[in-house]
Amino acid sequence: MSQSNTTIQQGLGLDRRALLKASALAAASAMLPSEGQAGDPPANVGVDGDVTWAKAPCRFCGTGCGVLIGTKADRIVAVQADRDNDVNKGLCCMKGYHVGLILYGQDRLTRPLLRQDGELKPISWDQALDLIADRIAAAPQKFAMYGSGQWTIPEGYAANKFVKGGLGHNHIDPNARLCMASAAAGFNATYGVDEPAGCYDDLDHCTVLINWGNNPAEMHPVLFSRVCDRRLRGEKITLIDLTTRRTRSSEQADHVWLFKPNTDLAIANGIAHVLVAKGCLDKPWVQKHFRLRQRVANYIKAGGTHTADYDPEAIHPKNLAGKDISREEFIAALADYSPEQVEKISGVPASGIRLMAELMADPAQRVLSWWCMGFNQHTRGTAINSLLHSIHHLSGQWGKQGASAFSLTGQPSACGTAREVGTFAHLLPGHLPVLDPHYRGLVEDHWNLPHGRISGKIGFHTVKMWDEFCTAGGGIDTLWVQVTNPGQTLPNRNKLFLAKRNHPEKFLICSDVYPNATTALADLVLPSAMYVEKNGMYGNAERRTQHWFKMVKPPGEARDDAWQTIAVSRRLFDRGMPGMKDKDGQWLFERTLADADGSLPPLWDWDHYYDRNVDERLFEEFRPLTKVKHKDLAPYGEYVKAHGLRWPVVKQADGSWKETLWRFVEGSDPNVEPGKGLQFYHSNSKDDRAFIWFHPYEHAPEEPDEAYPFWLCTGRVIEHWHSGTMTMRVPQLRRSMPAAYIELHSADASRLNVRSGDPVVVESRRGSLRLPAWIGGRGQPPEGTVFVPFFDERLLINDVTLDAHDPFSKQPDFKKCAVRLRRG
Amino acid sequence: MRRYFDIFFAACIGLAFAGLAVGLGPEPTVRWIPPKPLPVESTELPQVPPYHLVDNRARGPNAVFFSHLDRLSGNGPALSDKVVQTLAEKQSALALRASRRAYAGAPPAIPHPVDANQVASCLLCHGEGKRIDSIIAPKMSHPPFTNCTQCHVQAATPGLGPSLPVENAFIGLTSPTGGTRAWPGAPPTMPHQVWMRQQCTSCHGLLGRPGLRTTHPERVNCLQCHAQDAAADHRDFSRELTTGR
Repeated sequence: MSQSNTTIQQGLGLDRRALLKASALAAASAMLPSEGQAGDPPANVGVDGDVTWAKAPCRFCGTGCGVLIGTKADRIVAVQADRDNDVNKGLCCMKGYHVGLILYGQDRLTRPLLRQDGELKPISWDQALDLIADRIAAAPQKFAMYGSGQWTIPEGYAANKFVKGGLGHNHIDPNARLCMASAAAGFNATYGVDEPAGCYDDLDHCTVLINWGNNPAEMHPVLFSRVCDRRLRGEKITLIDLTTRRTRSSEQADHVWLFKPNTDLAIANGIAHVLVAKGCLDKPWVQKHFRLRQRVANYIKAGGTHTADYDPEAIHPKNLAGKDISREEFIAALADYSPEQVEKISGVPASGIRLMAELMADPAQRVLSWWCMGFNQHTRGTAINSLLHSIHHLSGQWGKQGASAFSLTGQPSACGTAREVGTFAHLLPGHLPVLDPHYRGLVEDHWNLPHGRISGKIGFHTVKMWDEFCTAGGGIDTLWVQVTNPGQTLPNRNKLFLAKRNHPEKFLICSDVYPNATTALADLVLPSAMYVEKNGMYGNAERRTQHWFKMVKPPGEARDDAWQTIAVSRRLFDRGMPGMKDKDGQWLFERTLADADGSLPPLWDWDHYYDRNVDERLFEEFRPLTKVKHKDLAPYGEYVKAHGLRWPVVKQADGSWKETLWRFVEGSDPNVEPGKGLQFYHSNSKDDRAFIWFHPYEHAPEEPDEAYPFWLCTGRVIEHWHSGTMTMRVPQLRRSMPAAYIELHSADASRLNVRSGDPVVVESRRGSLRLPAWIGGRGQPPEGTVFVPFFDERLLINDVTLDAHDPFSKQPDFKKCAVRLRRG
Repeated sequence: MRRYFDIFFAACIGLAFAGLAVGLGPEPTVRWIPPKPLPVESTELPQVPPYHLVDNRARGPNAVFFSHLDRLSGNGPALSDKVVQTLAEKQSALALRASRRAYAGAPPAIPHPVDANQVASCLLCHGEGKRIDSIIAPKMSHPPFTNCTQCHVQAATPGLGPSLPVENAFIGLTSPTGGTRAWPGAPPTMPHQVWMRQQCTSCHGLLGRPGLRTTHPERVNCLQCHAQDAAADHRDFSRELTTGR
């Protein structure tokens, strides 16, 4: 212990020296007669030579770029794009290049803090762990964990096992629920199994790229450049931008079609309408590999007042896969979606609908569609995801190099940790549904637990979990948040987060790295190690699992999230909690963490945590479960060597491990039987077929009316990631985009009599916010629409947004609602 | 056609005479018609500021152009100009580079406002490089990509108001100050990576800053004499990149 204290002090000493040096440089550079601007961050001084470089995936979005982190004297000093990583091939975006700076914000949390008399005061780790153990032991069924797609794979696995295997309930959910749950539901509804069939290699082969409401030039810039840069090599790519406002992506597009929010289902149906008229249903490919499908019943209950007023029977999870629809019914259902009618609904010209359908029907083209939050944060998110797969099936633009429907993700391990590790309230590791007793038994056996330990009841999904937590007498009274910032990112914040203030009996635990909107209300704050201060693994949007090793020590008393979970579990075991024992009476993590000879090193003691590679042991226990749904992962050691591998990763005769580029496609996916061509081996209809869906276009739950005449659309900017907890502490990024704003069309601005910089109050039925206007800025919304980015913790647009959610994915529609504006 | 021309011609002559008569005649009485009062909400109608009030800061480093229009010159130094390198110039050039980067190797921040999103507008100056007066718009150091603002962050976005300062204690890797020479007079080796710096002339060419500019711009095959550093470029495949701790 004394040794580690010394190290910490040395670490702090270095920090102080470094800071002094940095301030001195800042002062010196201010006097330089250069063109540098006053207040430039202290850059580029102090350290040189002898840098150790090691690989890691970027900390930010779901793209999963490879970076090389340069460290010296236990500090990050530089970052480079990894040329050997096939995701980004030596290029990053501005966030990735500055990822090393996120560790060094001056307000890092370095000690456990307990709220006493309204103030957060330091306590010891021992006290903190005891407090958590007390709360859990008192009411294990009322404890929940809220994690994230930024959990590393081993962290998420440890938390999942702790709750589902240890506490015997399923109240654990990741923030991915707010991010890509609809995409997962869309894949499950269509293929019977989650995650994309295609991969980023499609970007190198497509001839047509359609942006469905996403703005990849800012949000997935590395992938967007990968396509657009091909034009510089003389290749012709038709880029179509379907968007609710003009963005940086529109600048690159051949066609920019603005559509009215929520009408994307009509556009997809319009394309299907033209494809059907062209005889696509008669193609042998369609007849052999696909079934026509529709929903079981109308989602809106009889007498429902809006689109998200659901009939509980119609939206029961068992109805996710829908029911068959005859060819005639399918054609009749699409009859309402002629290009002319779709133009009236959506604003996309009929000629545009026809052009997209023509391109898709042309076998000489390779059409790639991609989308992100616009589809997922949608009250018909599952439906529009399913429809996009469907038009690609119908047209044959699927399963060929460059022809694919690709769901982008927003978090670095939304696929790896939220989906594959199954940290959702309805899943077990390996993406196995908890509703299925067979899978529960399988996981119980794998964990050596008595049968019946894992609950067959789906736990609380995110919105429900926070509702229960913020309600007196609700089902949750202790909530542990790890690696995410729900205080900023939950919808309808007043109801789902701030209401906690009225319930002193509720206990909020928050493991984080910086103070933020969540720690502001937390009762117990735990300082976490971040990014390369710990070992880790992430899984990106193209099924690529990536690995990194710890490179620098965390500051002060900050410690790994996985350790925190394991230490609490051990404490509960030591107190004799039955759930923390397996069926032989051993500790829940005993077999996970034991050495080969069966002896168990005290890894729950922080001083010994890195005596073994805990990540490797957690991962190796998780790995066999990935084979059930054919998402086979390779042994840990393979990821140490590789710059990411895309699952299924299958062992070859020569002992090497081979990744899979295209799933369900013969010749690429080893699970496809020879001669089948395509085989959807997890088909919902058990006949190796995927689905071609019909879903009707329905109105948004809230649309502009006389009282609230504007559409509010929300989104992101290139500089900031998620809630800005990390990127707002990077001077370069923060200076470029210092604050949130509201984008207005110039005509609306002149009616309101506001100029750029003038304050505007944006008000919905739920809340209001005062922001500076930006006219003719980075994006240009059409008349009647305004746009606000969500990164700024001082200007929280989620006080204004809607919490109506998708019937299956339970993902809220953050993207759009009706507002009114006034000069503020 | 001819008829229309005649009519037009006659009308012109008529107008000219009328003008002459009015000009020579007595001053007409001018009746002042007061303008209608503006509606209340229009009192804050945006007004175009006069030129002398236009905020020069928004022009960034280019503001200097507007006060020194007389001595603007678009010509850089000639190939034959003698280049004398001094240590002071080199240090000042490296300091300027450093002020725009978080660490050596980071994409430089854009020191001027960006009000156009199209790559063509960046290439106008940075495609081949430009020098006007003391301002240098360096040629891109790498082959062109299509999304400049993907990597290059704006040093500041004017108009969005101040941001709360959050101190960051990151200390970046310093630029190397020079390569190694086998003997005095030998061509120095390259002290930095070549990746993303394939265009040597970006910094070392005719438009390079004094101190970094090559003494022999007439030679075009830099890699003929200056050896790369495989380790700096991570092309030293004999070395394991991953480290365990």
